[in-house]
Parts: sequence; structure tokens; C-alpha cells
Amino acid sequence: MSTPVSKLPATRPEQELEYKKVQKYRSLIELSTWLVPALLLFLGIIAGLHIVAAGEEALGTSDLVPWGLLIAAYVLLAVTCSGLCMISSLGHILHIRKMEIVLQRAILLAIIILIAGFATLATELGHPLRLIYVLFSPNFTSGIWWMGTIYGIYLVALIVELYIQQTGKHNLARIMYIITLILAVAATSNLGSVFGLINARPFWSGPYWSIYILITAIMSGLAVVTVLAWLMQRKERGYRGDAFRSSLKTTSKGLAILLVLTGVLTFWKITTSLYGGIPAKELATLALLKGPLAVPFWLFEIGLGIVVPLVLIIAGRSERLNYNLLAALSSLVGIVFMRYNMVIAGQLVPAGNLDVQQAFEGFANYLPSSSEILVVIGAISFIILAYRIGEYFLKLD
Amino acid sequence: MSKRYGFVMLVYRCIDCKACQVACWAENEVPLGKTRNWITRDGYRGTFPHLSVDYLPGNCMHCDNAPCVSVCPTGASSKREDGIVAVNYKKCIGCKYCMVACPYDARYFHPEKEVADKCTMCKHRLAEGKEPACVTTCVGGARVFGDLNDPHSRVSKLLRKHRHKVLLPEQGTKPSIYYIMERPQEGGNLE
Repeated sequence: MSTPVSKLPATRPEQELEYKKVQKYRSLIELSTWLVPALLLFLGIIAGLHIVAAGEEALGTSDLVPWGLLIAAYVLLAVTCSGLCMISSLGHILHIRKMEIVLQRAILLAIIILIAGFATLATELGHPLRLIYVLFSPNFTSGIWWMGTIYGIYLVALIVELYIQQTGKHNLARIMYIITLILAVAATSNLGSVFGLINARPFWSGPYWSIYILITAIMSGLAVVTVLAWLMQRKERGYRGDAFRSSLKTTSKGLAILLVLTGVLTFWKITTSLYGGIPAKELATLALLKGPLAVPFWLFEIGLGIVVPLVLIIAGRSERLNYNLLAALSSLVGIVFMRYNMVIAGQLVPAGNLDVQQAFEGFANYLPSSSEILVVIGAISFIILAYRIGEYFLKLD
Repeated sequence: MSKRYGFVMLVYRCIDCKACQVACWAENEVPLGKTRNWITRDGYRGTFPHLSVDYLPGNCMHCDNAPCVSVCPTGASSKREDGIVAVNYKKCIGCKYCMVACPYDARYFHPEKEVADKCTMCKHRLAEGKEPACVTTCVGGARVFGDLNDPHSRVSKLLRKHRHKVLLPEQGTKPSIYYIMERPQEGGNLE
């Protein structure tokens, strides 16, 4: 049997030509990994400016659904930042050696993600420049005041922590790990309380969201770190490559535990909200189960967010790196919709539904506008670009 | 004792003509598609053919324990001594937390001012000794306005004389709008 021509060993000039071709493609891919996010960031900035200029007209929100995709994106980014910080601080404090190589990177990512979150929130605000009144005219009974203030302090603390890490002052760094861990827990649970303190929305009211957000923060942090470790292990060889691979397996195991916990929490939230048929609470849950949010809930939040990643991690016994990557990516997609569903479901039932006599039968409408979607894509692109620049300039090992 | 302004709604007098909404739009230059007050239908009563329906006029409840005031991060929403829940536009950052927190859905987002706006009880008219525009224009006289702290005011007398209710009492907001659901004899008057 003759060997096919394509499989014949290449001669030296042919090999060189092929090598040059591969190099050319590699550099093209490398260039596109900078250019594509840069272009998307540019589009995001344009969309953000459009929202600032046109105001409510550029948003999909209404008086019945005042909080939309941008608030959900802020929750997503702020909570992911806290998750990364909690993992980093706990990893350092508890000396989890297998994760050491990704922990400094987690702090850099946390800072970048929080800045992107603040930018997204500022785009949604009617008057972002008036945020100065948060300082000069504070209202201490406001959940948003506490959340905003703690996240502001937290951002400064994270920057200080990264600076101390860079200067190699390990004892001081240990103190900062504890401080940022406390701030991360305080900020995240406060963010949950922004929703939990609203008695007018029974679906949100109560301590549930503070706990849920804290648990899912660690879940999203683990998912991001898993993706990061996978990307790094492809670049690195030898000991460093092994270290990234080892941390990738550890974070995937953690992710699996958190996925199960989130599934259990979600099950009981749904069950308790349906039980007894309390108006507004029940209807908001039905919006998720078989109403306008059914696809984002079943397909993305439950399917891609919990079931698929769990199956992948279990099938690969957390040892198969590509399975772990797919699981982390899938859960990240699910987390995006998890935040969206949480913010929107609470508002789809008008508050007036608390009055049983005048109960409203349908749901309020909300669909994100193209500008809102572009701002979120821009924020994610900013995170990718800023992290790559950080990775290039900072000493993260 | 300081004043505490409030409304008493004589439900049997409301004919759902929406003149209160039109008057408010004109008086307060409310943007198109938005409203500071409303009329809702309160179910049907009786059996066919003796059916009747109640209409409940409403606006911001100017609650004594207002959730919008508690949640505002900058104190832009505040409860005045005279009972009006006011909005300081200059301090409003447009976060819409008050809109989400109001159990009566009483607020709207002003598209030009970019602030969460609402009924002010026509405080500019009160300063001139006039009643709110919705009260002045009400065809059936369903909206009664006055000082709830003055025992001689019409609102106080009505509340003393008749059973009344507030909307969503379980929310603990202590609204300043009271509803009298009683009906007088045919052709009669409650007062």
C-alpha cells in the first residue's frame, strides 16, 4: 500500500515553509486576541456614551422594571470580584499550596473586574457625577449606601494588597489577605441585602440573597480561576505548567462542590416561593419556571450553569483538563443568566400585586436594549485586555 | 402641632373620569407616557344584574414610614415636617432604588431630568394657599385634601366619622392616603 502524498515526510525547505506558516497563523491569532477585545471595548464605550446621552430611551428598562441588564452585570462583576478575592485570601491564609500559582493573578483579576463593574453601574445611573452626595449626604439606612461604600473601600484595599504583593512584603501581605477577606464577605453580603431589604418585592425580601450571593461568589471565582489556570498551563512548560495543571484540578473540585450547593439553594428557593401561593412571590417564581424567564432559567441557569459543568467534572473525575475548562466556561455562562434572572424576576411582577384584590395576571416586560448588551460585552473585553496588560507588566509568580 | 397633609378618598364619588391625571399632567408638566396619579378598579360587587364597581384614586401615599426615604443612598428623598415625601432633584443619582422599593409603584423615572420623580402634593400650590390640582379638578369630589393633624379639617372629620382603610397596611408604611369605602343612601351624602 502506498503512503498518501500528504503524509510523506517533508523535506527541510518544506518544513521551514510550514513552520513559517504556523508562526504566521500564531501571530495572527495572537494579534486578534488583542484586536477583537479592543474593538468590542470600543463598541462598548460608544454604547455607554449613547446611554449617558440618550438616557432612558437607550435602555430596555421601564418604570415597572427599573433595573435591567446593567444592574445584573454589576452584580455579576462585583460578586465575581469578591469570589476571586475570597479564593485568593483563603488560599494564602490556609496555605493551599496547589493553588498558590493562581492566587496573585486572582487579585489582579478581582481589581480589574471590580473596575469594570463600577463602570457598568455608572453607565446605568442617571447622574453618576452626583455620586459625590454618597460622601457628603450619606443615608445610613440605605442598603445601596453601605454596599457602594464597602465596595469602594474594598477596591482600595485590593489595590494596596496587589502593591504589597509586588513589593514582596509577605508579613504585611498576610494582614491584607485577612482585611480583604473580611471586606469581600461584607461587601458581597451587603450586595445581597440591597435586594433582601426590599419588602415591596417578596421574591427578594429576606436574608436568602445575602447567603446565596456569598456562595455563588466563590463559585464564580473558582470558575474564572479554572479558566485562567487552563490558559496558563497551555503557555507554560515544566514545573510551572504542572503547577497550573495541579491548581486547575483543585479549583475544579471546589467548583463541583459549589455547584451542588448552589443547586440545593436554588431548589429550596423555588420550593419555598411556590409553597402556600403567596401573591407576587409565587408569580415571580412562575416567571422563572414557565414564564418569560423560563429559557434563561432552565436552559442557561440550571442546564449550562449547574447540570452540564457538574456532569463534565464528574465524567472527567476533575483530572481531564479540557473537561474542567468546558465545565468552568459553561458555569460562567450560567452565572451570567443566574444574575440576570435574580434581578429581573423580582421586578416582573408589579409591586401592586401585593394587593390580592387587584392582583395583576400577567408579567411586566423587559428585554435588554442593544446598547445595554454592548456595554456588558465591552466590560468583559476590558477585563480581558486589562488583565493581559497586567500579566505583561506585573510580577505575578 | 405641625401640619400633616394627607388625602381622604371618598371612593363612592370616583367615576373614573381621570380628570385628576390630566390636571396633574398640566400642572406639573409630567412627561408624556408618565403619571403621578392613577385610578385602579377594585373588583366587582353584588350579583347580576345588581352589579357595581369601585374605583380607587391614588398617588404617592406620602408614607410616614416611607421605604423610598429609607433606601435612598444620598437622602435625596426625605419626609418633610408637613408630611410630604419630597425629592431633592439635585441630590438624586438616578439609581432607581426608590422605584424598586415603593410597594405602590408610585414613582416614575423622569426622562429629561434623569431622576426618580413622583407626586409632591403640588407643594408649590400649597405655598400659595391652594389645594393640589387633582383635588381642585375632581369632578365628583372624591379626592379630599387637608391637614390630618387639624381636628377641624374636613379630612379629620371624615376619618372620625367613617370606617376607613389604607392600602397594603401589612407593609408597615403608614400611608397618608385613606380610603372610605362606605356608600351613602341613594342620592345622599356621607358628610
